[in-house]
Amino acid sequence: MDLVLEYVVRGAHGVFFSAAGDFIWLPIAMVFIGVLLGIVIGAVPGLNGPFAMALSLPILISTFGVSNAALLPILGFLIGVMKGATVGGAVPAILFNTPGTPDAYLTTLDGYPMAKNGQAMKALKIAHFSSAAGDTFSDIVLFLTAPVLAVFIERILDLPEKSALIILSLSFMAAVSGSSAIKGLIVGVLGMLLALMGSTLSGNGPRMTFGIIALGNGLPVTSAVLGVLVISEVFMGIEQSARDRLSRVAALENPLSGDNSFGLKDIRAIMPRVCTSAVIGTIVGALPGIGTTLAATLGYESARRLSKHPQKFGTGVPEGVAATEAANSAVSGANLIPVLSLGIPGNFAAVFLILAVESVGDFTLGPSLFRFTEIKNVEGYGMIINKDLVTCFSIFTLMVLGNVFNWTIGSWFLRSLGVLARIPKSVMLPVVLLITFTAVYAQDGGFVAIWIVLVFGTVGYVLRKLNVSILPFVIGFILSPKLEELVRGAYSASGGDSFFMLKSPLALAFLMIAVAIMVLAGRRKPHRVP
Amino acid sequence: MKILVSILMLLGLVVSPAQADWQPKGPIKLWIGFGAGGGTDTQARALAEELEARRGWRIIPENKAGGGGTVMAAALKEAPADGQTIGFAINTTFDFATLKSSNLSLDDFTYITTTAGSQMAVLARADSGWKTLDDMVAAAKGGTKIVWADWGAQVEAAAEIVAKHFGIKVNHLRAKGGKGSLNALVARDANVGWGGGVQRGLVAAGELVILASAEDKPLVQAPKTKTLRDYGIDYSFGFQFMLAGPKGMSTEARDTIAKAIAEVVLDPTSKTHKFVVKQYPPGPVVVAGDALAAQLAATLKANRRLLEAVSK
Repeated sequence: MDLVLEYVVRGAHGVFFSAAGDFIWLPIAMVFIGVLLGIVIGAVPGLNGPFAMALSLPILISTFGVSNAALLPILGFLIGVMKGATVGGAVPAILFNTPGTPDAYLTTLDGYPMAKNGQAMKALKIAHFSSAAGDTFSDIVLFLTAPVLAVFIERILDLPEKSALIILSLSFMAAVSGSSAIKGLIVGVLGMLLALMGSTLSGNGPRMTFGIIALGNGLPVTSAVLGVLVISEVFMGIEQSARDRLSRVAALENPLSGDNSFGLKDIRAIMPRVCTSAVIGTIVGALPGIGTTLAATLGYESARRLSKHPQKFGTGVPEGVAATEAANSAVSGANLIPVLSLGIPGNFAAVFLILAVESVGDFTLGPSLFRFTEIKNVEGYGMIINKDLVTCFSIFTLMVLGNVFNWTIGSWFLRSLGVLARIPKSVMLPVVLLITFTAVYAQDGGFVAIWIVLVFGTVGYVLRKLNVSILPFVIGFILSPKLEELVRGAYSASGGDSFFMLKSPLALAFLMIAVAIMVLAGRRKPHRVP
Repeated sequence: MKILVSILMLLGLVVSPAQADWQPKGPIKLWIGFGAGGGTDTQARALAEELEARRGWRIIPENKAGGGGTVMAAALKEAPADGQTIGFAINTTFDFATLKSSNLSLDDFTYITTTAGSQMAVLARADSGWKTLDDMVAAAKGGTKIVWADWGAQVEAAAEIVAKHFGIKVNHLRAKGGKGSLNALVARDANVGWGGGVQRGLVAAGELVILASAEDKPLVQAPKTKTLRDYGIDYSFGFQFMLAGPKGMSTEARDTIAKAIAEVVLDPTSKTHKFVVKQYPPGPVVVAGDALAAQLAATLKANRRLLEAVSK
C-alpha cells in the first residue's frame, strides 16, 4: 500500500514540480485554458470537444515538441477541453433550444422550458452542478478500476484472446454507434483497410502505397482523422448555411423573471437523479463506441420513470436537466478505462488522447503501465522506478485539476457565454478550415497532408450524408495496425497454426459474442442518428 | 529569436574556423528512422539540440518511422545530396534490409558516422527461473513452448540460428522496435526476447534476466554471462546507431558533419554522451566515413551468410 501511495504522490508531484524540484505552472495553466476553451467550444452549436481536441493536438505538438516534458502540458490541455466541453454543451440548449453538442439535445427538453419560465440561470446552475458531479464520479471509478482491470487483463489474456477482444470491440462499436449495424460494419472494415497502407512488421517493404514514398509509413493518422471528423463537418456546415439562408429563425430572449436561486434544497432534490445518471453514464462510457448521446437518453428516461411526477417532464423540471447532464458528463472519465487497460479507444475524445500519447514522449499504454515496480536507488546506476506508472498518476492528477476548475470557475464562466451561440457559421467555418490545413501541414509534412485531409473530408461528408456513423470508420482506422500486429504475433507464436484463434475457448467466446451482436443488431429496425 | 540564432551562428563560426570549408546553406533536416520515444529518437533529438548549440546550424528532427528504418531510407535516397538532409537509423537498415529490398541498396547512401553500439542480449523474465541460455534450452527440450520476441527480420534470423544450434524449436513474435519486444516479454506474450539496450531498467529492477550476450563481449550489466560465441555460435548480432546521407554527398560535407557529431558524442559533459553511456554502455562508438562504409560492406556479407544459414 505504501508503494501505491508513493507512486500516487510522485505522479501528483510531477504535475506541480519539475524534475529539478521547481514549481511549474505550465501543466496547471494548460488544464485551466483547456477547460475554458472546452466550455466555449461546447457552447458553440456545431462544435464539440473532440473537434477542438483534433485541431489543438497538432498545434500543441508543434508548440511543445515531442519530448517527455511536453506530455503533461499537452495532455492537460486536451483533458481540460474534454471536460469543459461536456459542461458547455448545456448553454445553448437551455438558452436557445439549440443543443451545443449532440448529447445536449435532451437538455433542451426541460432546460429550454425552464428558460421560458424565466429560470434560465437556475437551469444553467443545475446543468453545471450535475455535469461536474457526473464527471467527478466517473473519474473516481476510472482511478479505482483501470489499474485492477489492466493487471487482470494482462494475466488472463494471451495474443489470440487480445486479437479476438479487439474484433469484439470493433463489432460492438459498428453495431451500436450508427443507424444500422451492417453500415457500421462496412465503414469499420473500410477504415481498417485504409490503415493497411504503408510498411508492415513483415520487413518486406511497404505495401499498397502506389509507389508514393511519403506513404511509406501509411496514411498520416492526424490528417486522416481530422479529415473525416473536422473537414466533413465543415462541408456539412457549408451546405447547411446555404439552406439556412432560405429560412432564418430568430432566437428568443427570455427575461430572468422566475426563481433563479440554487441552494442546498435544490441539490437535495436533484441528487438522487444525479447519482443514478452518473452510474448510467459511467457504465455506458466504459463500453466502447456507445457515447454520450445514449447515456443522456438513458439518464433522462430513468429519471422520468423514477420520478413521482413523470408527466411534468418536458415542461421545465430541474430533474430533467440534472439527469441528462450528469449522464452525458459521466461518460468522459469512464471512456478512459478501455484506453488505459486495453489501448482501445471508445470514442473520439479517447482517440485524440491516444494519438497524443503515441506522438509525444516515451510514455506507452501497455502491459507495463500498471506494474508497481519496487522503487529503489542502485549505486552508480540511478533510480529504479516504473516511470510510466508515475506518468499515469500525473494524468489522473490533471483530471482532478480539470474537475476542480470545472467546479470553481466553470459555473461562473458558463453563465456568461450566451453570446457565443450566435457566432455566424460564415465566420467560423473558414477559421476552422484554415486551422485544420495549417495544423496538418505542420504535423504530417507538407502538401501530401492537405490532399489526404481533403480526400478523407469527402469520405466523411459522404458517410454523414448517407447517415452512417463515422465512429467505426475512425476506430477501425486507428485499431487496424494494432489488430494486425496481434494477429500476426498470435499466428507466428502459435508456430503457424491457422486455427490459433479458434483453439482458445476465451477467444472463441469473444468471436461468437461479436457475431451474435452483429446478428442481433442487424435485426433491429434502423433509426436515424439524432 | 532570430538575433539569438545569428549570434549562435557567429559563435559557431568563430569557435571552429577549421571547418569553415563546408557550411549548410540552410536548415539541416534530420530524419529519424524510428518512432518517437525509442533509443534512436532520444539520441537523435539530443544530438540535434547540441549540434545547434555548438555549431549554430539549424537542425529540424523529424520521425519517419517504419520498416526498421527503411521508410526513412527510401525517402533519404531521393533527397538532395547537399548535406542538408541526413538520416539517423541503425546499421541493419543499410546492411541487412537492403538485402531484401528491391529499391534500396548499400550503394544508395553516403555513410557519415556511428554514434553508439548496442548491448544486445537474450532476455527472459526473472520469474521464468532461467539464469542462462542452457536453462532455456533445457526447458525447451523438456516441452516448454518458446516464443521469442524480436523487432525485425535480421534478429528473427538470429533467433533461428540460436535455435538451430541447440536443436530446439522456437516460434517468433514480431514487435515494434526494441521497446515493443520488451513489452511482449513483460506481458507474457513471449518468454524469450531480444533487447538492444532498452532492457537496462527492467534488468536492473530485477524483472528481466540476461541469458546470454549477443555481442562479441559480455554485457556491461551481466559481466559473467556468456556470449553466443562462448556457446559455439559463430555470430554476433550487435548493432550500431548511425547517420547517413543520400549518395553523392561531398566528402567535405560528410566529414564536417561527422566531426561535429563526434565532438558532441565524445564530450563527457554532453547530454548525448550521458545518454549513450547510460543506455548503451560502456560508451560512444565512433566509426566514420570510408571506415564505416567498409564495415557496412563486411556486415552485409555476414548477413548474406546468415540468411543462407537460416534457409538451410
